[in-house]
Amino acid sequence: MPPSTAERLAPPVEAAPSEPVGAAHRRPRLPWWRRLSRDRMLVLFALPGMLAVLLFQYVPLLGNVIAFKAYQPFLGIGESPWVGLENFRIIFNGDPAFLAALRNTLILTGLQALLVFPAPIVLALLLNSLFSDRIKRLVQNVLYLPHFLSWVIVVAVFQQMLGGSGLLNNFLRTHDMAALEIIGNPDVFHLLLTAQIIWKDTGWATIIFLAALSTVDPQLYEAAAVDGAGRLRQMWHITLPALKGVIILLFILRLGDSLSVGFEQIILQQAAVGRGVSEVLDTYVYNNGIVGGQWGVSAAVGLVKGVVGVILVLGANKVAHIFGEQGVYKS
Amino acid sequence: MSRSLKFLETDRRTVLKGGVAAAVAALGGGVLASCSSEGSPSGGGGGGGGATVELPTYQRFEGATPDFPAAAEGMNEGFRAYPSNPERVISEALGDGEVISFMTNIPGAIPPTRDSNSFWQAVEERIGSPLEISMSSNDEYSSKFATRIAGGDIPDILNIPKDVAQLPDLLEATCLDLTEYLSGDAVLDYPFLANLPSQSWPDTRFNGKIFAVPVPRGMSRTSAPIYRQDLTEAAGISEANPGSFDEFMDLCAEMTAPGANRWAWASMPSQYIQQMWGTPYLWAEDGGAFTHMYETEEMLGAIEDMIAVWAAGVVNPDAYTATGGAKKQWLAAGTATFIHDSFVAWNQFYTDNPTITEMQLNMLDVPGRDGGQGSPWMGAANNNITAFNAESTHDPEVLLAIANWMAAPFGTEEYLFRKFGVEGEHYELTGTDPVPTALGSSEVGIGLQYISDAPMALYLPGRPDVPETQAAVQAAMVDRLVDDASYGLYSETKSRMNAQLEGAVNDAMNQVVQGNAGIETFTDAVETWRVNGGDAIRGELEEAYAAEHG
Amino acid sequence: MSATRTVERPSNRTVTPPTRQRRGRRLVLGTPLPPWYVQAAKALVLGVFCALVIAPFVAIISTSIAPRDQISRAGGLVLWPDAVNLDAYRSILSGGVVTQAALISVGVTVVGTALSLFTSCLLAYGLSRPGSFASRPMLLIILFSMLFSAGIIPTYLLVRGVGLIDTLWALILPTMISGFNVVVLRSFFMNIPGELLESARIDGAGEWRIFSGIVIPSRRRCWR
Repeated sequence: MPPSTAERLAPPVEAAPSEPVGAAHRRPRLPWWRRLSRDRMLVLFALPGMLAVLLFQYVPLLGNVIAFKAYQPFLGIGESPWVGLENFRIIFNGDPAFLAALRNTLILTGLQALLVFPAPIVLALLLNSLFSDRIKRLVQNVLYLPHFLSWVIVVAVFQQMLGGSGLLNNFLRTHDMAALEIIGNPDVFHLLLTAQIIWKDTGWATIIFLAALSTVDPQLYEAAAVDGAGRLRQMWHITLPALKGVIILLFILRLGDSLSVGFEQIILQQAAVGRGVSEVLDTYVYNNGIVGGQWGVSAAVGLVKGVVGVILVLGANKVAHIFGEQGVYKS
Repeated sequence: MSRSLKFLETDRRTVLKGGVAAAVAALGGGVLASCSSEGSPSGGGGGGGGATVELPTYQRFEGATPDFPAAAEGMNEGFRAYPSNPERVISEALGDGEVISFMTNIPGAIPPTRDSNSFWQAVEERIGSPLEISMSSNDEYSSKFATRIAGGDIPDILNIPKDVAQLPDLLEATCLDLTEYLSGDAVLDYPFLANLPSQSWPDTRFNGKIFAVPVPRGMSRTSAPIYRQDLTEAAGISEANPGSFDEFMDLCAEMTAPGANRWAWASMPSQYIQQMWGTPYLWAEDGGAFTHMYETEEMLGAIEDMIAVWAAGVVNPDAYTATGGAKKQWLAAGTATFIHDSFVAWNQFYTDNPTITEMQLNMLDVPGRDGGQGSPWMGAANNNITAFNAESTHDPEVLLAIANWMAAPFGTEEYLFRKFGVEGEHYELTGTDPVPTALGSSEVGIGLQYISDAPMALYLPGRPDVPETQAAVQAAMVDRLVDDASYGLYSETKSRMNAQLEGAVNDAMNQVVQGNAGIETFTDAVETWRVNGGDAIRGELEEAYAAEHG
Repeated sequence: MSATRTVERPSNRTVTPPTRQRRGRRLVLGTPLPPWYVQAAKALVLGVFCALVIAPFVAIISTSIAPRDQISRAGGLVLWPDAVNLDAYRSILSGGVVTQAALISVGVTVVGTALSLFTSCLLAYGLSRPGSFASRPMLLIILFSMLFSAGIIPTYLLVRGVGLIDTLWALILPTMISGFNVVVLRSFFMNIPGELLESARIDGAGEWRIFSGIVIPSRRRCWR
């Protein structure tokens, strides 16, 4: 079947990497000094940013050496005694509380991948299908407001709306209906956390997807309509492919962060539901390390999380390549 | 996507700091053991030896005469009104003209900076030196403290927060040894510091030396159920004090009406129930052996009662999720009738809610579980201790003179100036009582009370009835107050791990009480507590105790 | 339908897509509008979501202008104020502390965002031509910086060592480059067809001219 007009004119979202100007197209690469001189402007552009990253984010990473020391602030990094892998013991000693924390972390990561990640995509598609640009703008601006609230406020708001003595339950009680136990109920806690994240961050996350959708040429839709495609087919063949690259990119990046499922949000609500359902890696480290001033333990766990994140990102990128996608970077 | 773990200041019942280190003094020399030990209230037995040092003697400052004197040691003195024409005790300037730096936390809003703060400038004039105060909010203070210590920027005066690990080593390494200036009768050079209650000083003693001045709290921090007497009287209850646990349950049931959005308690009254049962206040000591409250039979009985209280629905269902501030608003709104809080908070309810004129507060006494009298707990002796930088360019005597000035007690002109500001600008006198102006409310809170402070006086401007009620409550309780036996003794494991150990047990207790788990969850948690550090702490405390008592 | 495509320059002004009439039903982009119940369902979903998002803000704003009395009696949160009372705003704005803090926040945000945008775009563009010198290692460095964090004490020691303590730059420079932003921007920049840039180069445009004249304007939408 000949490619439809739409497919022919589909925007090159997965642009084959364009040949750098003047590069040799053949296998033997130019010697490095030639390439440097050819690309000097690009390297110059990248320089300020790279310097900032190296200085402000990589140099402090040297401080992670305290993961191998019994660090005390008044001793300083240099004078604190070495303790080898002692700080990592918290992960490997089989403490049931740690295993519970790991389990909760994985459950929450799964819920977030399943519910939190697709929500802004769905919302972006919904907004994109609106015809009035004015309404689209208005709704978008309203929806990303909660992103700017701190978790302290968001949790307080949820508690005052949905809590046992909150507005919703007051309304139910005054109308002789049974009160709903939402806040403070261990059984629904994971879903509650997910709902809070969706409420807070979905609007903000739609921005990127809407930006990707805005690069689609409207003429494509017209062309598809001429070829007889209804709304759904247009979405399948035009809209979604436009998003595919961005979705995969964001998903891989999200994977790198998958062991961090939230700290402030959870610690604010931990007292009610108990640590059994609410303890995650970050709160476990806090409750068992930080409160005693054990900085080394925090650094150790941070290192382990970083290494896991690197493995996940590189692995997912490789998988993306196997499927022909570009991923974060092309090898 | 922030991964940095911030320090959250959670509400801890008590984290007591150290006292005498039983073990080896890390640095040799310099241990001043006073040869004459008689007359010092908490000094160790017999002079000589290296483990103890004589604590500062107590000498009451004869200032204003209280309307409600302290019937026993530990009680706060009460005043109906501020004395007229308060005397100014210290007239000479204290500072040396050089900048004095201070680091502290500030509860509440950060006030305007020095350049736009007339109160701050007035203080600098009074003490004769520029004062540089580095403030941060309660939540962030622990992080900030650790960061500045790590960076080596230690100010002249520093407020030591709770939960600092390896405190004795930190103090030895960075702070001034004040023993020669404060031990025994040397403190009489600083009359206001000598006026501080003797129970405040053990907190400042480490490795046989005195390293800090205390910021006293004492009985003002004793907590018990504060309640809205106007609401109980409206419900027809003339005498709210229950005589037993069962009467207490009836009282709560009367004040609960979920349909009308009212519950008796803003939070689970766990401490109150424990006090009825007579569990120890954290640690109890008997013949040198230490027992923790978790390990006692009374604790299990108290938990059974707590389960019953929760199941009866007399506690606000959001008690475990709402913030402390929200719960105070419940009391003000009448959504809750009872809240467990201290004498300090008592006054705060009045000042925070001036429009609720019908609010009348009182405090319940503790009955025995099945009748008789219960044993209330003495509150934390100190809010914090404040130390001085060993590398400071100032003479220690100058810094101590300033701390002394900060401790000027109620009734002096220094106290009036320090707490309320300049008359006409920061407060107006109604009769003899100072009433803060808007300027005063925003400018005065610069944190001076954390350098040192006078023992709290029971006083509320414009409300002479309040100190009367408070003094009566204190008088009824003072003889039965139970102390934490570990106060004044230092345990390294405790300072390092106590918060996390207790956190785990409290979490288990909360789940058991709410009915989400069986009582075995609690007993298992106590077993874990024992294994992970409880026994180690016990050992260290017993050692410290033995060293002190021979 | 034109076979060649002109450079996309989606303008910032909103443009309602052209509608035509065909057999009595409105068309948008050649397709008939969805039936009324689908439109109603869409409106309902969006409306509910918007209401859920706005309600707490309404509550917070109402509480800030409600009389103190009403707040105390309601237990802290008011949905609709009985009367308007601006005392709270007066007191925080009169002291000068909040005003000054707000001005500083605005200043830091404006300068910081502009600087961050500029350097991030430069960096992202510099990395967006695959095969260019060292682009892969640099990208990996950016990527890994997102996964490891140093913690508060080493960062403080560094900022102090560089001499930025007690300056506003300490609030701006350390967080100027966000790895996430750079990676996303780079991905958008890579979607610009190479032929476009090549033709510009052949015409003699320098790299900077290409950057400011073509790349940035065509990607205005992703700046948010």
